[in-house]
Amino acid sequence: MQKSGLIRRETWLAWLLVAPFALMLLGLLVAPFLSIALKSLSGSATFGLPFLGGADGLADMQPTARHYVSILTEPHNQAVILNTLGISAVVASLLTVIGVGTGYFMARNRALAPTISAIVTYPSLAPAVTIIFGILWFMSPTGPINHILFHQLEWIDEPLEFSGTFMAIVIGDLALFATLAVRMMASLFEMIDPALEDASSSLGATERETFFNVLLPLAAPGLAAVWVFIFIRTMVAYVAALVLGGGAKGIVVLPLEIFTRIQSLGISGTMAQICAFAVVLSIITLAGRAIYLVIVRRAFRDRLKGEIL
Amino acid sequence: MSGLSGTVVAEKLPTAPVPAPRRGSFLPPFRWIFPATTLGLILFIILPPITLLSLSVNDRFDLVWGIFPAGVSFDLYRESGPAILRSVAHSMRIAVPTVILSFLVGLPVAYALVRLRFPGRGLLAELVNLPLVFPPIVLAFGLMQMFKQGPFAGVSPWVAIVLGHTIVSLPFMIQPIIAALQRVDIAVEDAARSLGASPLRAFLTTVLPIIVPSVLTGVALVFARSISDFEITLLLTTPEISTMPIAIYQAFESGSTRLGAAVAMATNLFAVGVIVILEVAVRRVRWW
Amino acid sequence: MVNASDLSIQSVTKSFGPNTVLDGISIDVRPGEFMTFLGPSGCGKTTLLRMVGGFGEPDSGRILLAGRDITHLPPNQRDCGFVFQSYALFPHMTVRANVAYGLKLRKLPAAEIESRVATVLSMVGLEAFADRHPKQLSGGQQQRVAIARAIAIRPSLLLMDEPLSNLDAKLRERIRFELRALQKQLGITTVFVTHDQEEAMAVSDRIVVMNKGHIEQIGTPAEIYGEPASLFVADFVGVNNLVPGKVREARGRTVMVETAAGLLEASHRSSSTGENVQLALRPEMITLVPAGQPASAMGGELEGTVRMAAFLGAATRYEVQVSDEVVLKVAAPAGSPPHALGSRVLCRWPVESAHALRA
Repeated sequence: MQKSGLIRRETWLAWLLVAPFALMLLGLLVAPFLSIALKSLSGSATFGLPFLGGADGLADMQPTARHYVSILTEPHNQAVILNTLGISAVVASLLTVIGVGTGYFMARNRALAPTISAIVTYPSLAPAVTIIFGILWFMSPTGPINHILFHQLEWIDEPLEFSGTFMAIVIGDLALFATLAVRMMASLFEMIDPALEDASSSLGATERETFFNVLLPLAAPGLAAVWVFIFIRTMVAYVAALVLGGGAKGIVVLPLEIFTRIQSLGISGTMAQICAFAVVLSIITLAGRAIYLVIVRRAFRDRLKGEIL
Repeated sequence: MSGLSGTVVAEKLPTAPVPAPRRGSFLPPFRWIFPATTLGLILFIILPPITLLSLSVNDRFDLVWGIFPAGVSFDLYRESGPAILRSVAHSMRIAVPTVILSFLVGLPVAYALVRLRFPGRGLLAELVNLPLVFPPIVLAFGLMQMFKQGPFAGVSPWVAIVLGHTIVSLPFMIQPIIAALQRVDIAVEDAARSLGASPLRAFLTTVLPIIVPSVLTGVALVFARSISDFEITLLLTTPEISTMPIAIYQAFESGSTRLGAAVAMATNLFAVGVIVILEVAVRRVRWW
Repeated sequence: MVNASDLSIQSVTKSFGPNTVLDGISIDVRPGEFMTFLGPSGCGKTTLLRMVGGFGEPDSGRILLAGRDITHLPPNQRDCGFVFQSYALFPHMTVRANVAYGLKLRKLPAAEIESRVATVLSMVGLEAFADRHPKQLSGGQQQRVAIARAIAIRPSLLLMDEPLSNLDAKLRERIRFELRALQKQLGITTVFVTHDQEEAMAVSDRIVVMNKGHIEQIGTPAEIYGEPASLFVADFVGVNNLVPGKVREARGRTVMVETAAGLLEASHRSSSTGENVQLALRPEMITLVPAGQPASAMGGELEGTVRMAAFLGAATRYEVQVSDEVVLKVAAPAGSPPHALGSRVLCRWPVESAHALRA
């Protein structure tokens, strides 16, 4: 009896301490998401979310899956999904490669590592909008790239059109998420004992062979984790697409599609369709996170840093 | 060459070392890949902001070689000074409450996770980082609905923005504090208790002062997250609220590139400056 | 009985899940006594000590301090000074502030706090370090601050959890004696936890030997050393010779034990005829003499061959083969005549130093 009293006291204290956080998360994130998920299955055309100010209750739901079907079948929506997955995959792959190069260099070069780290951290401190606009200007018809290629060197006949291309969004996201990738890779390679490389080269391996036969296999689960992590972070970001994507006729990604549809809610589109997009985006993201966690826990027992940046 | 068998090596070793196989000698050495990648990344990261900076202090629109200013002038900053200051003020009105709220909500969570055993602990540990990955657009959409026509209709949009920022910032406050609490000897709190301190007093006089540097790190991270935020604020904002990222976006969207550049550079200096000062404080502050 | 003891632990039981950590422990500590809980790690000694200090409550049983039931009091209302294994000094406070912490909580006047801190610091010889921070002190100095902080509040009970285990061997031995002297000077009832039997012998008035959550023996260091009550205690306090056998006949205070090396006499507690026992014998209680000497009437005696001899400075260790299956370890003090390998010797010991312990 005394024992259960003791346990109950610690439990109550813990719940009390955790309550504000739990209530915030439940009330402002989980509950709205459940309501959005409910709405996405509803055939009713009303605005507002069920139980959160929306007019309709459960009885008016008219359950239907057609909003999900339309995401998969309408050509515009298909393009959005493909663009989103494509951009995220390209960014994640490029950053994995760049991250390996820079992260390994930082992990093995103790003298330069703090300086590199400081420079690479800059994009995570500066507001993302400023980075993206910096890139927009840099690549614009009057910006440095076109200035040099078109005006100074006259290598090209007309300025390169950058805005509104797949590449533009990729470059924007690369700048935004380079910090994460490089930091995670550096922490990954720091975990690998340099003595292994010495052992490999003492047995006659070249640097290239050591890298591909010893380092990369050891780092492989980490590379997978970083890839998945960058993939989901890129997936939910829309600043790059908003500024560099060239508007509605350019390249549109999933979160941007949700944003534009919210903006034009009164004019076209239905609430339920937005909700379906939101659910799809959330589910892919959460699934990606689950995969990331499985890899990290299996291979690194949570030692891979970088989630907090 | 790669099929060199063990016996061959064993025979050769005593007399002369096996010459390293030379391959691809027309290419630069393999090890150059790493510094080259690093250099490329660094250029990629610093060039756009540098051109933005030159643009904002140039006295005309054209840049020499597209990169360097032709003549220096701070007219743009002078002109848009009030607008910049206004957006700084708006950003602070959101960031400061966000930092305070994140601390008040996050500290007890970190403490409970590190020091207490209770039903639901595992679930909570999983949920703590959820706001980091949850799509901001979906979070903002939900908040927008709740504050526009839902249960919080009529509540100030400032509150909605602060709450949105707090949710996504909480992991940035909680994680450094968790790491710090794990390093603090549990016996320190027990010692204070055995000397006569109540549980709250023991925490406030021993544990809290010890973890202050990590709290400051959390403050810097949350502050950075809040004043940089664009994706959540954009949906929740009203014409009256113009945080720094929103002001930059509006300036560029309305076609005033140089003005946008000036606001962006001012924002960068402010944001990075505050964070660097906080980080330096964390490293320098040694009150024991 | 209860009133005579300062601290009284009464049938305390504690389990964590399926593991019973403490199984009906009862101990009475007398006023001013230096009591040590001795045992291997996981025997429950630290759990019990923390319970006395208020960190954890028993599932059943009571803990009384000077007749007052403190079983469920929080630690800040118990008036127990606690010295932690890690010292748990407050890193952000000076030595002075560390020692004054408990006094400030008691809202003593500033002048009294100052004088008490000065007194306590001079007791542990750290007056000169009052304004340093713990990180600027050596391990031994930090240890003294921890003790000073605990005694500054003039607790009715001083609890110490392996306070010397983080020090190097030389320092440990010195602080051991300082601690003992300080405790006698203050006359403060003290409970000390250690896994080091030598340390326990050196500081304690009485020792509680614990194993797997129960008490194996309570007694003075001399009793624990000389008359181990169980096989576990004998093994834990360094009795290296254990010879299995069977009790042939009990004769009051002694028994005759049939072993592979012959019939041997031993003291006992409660053995009965026919019981399987281990005959425990300390190496340092055995005297070696060259074979062929006249038999001694006073104790046990076995003849054997020296198989191994190792000179260790203060003593020489021998292993003597006394029968096909039995080898006795012998520690001969420095200065005793050496015995060559292979020579025949007689091992002799007083009967009361051989104990028949239930196997």
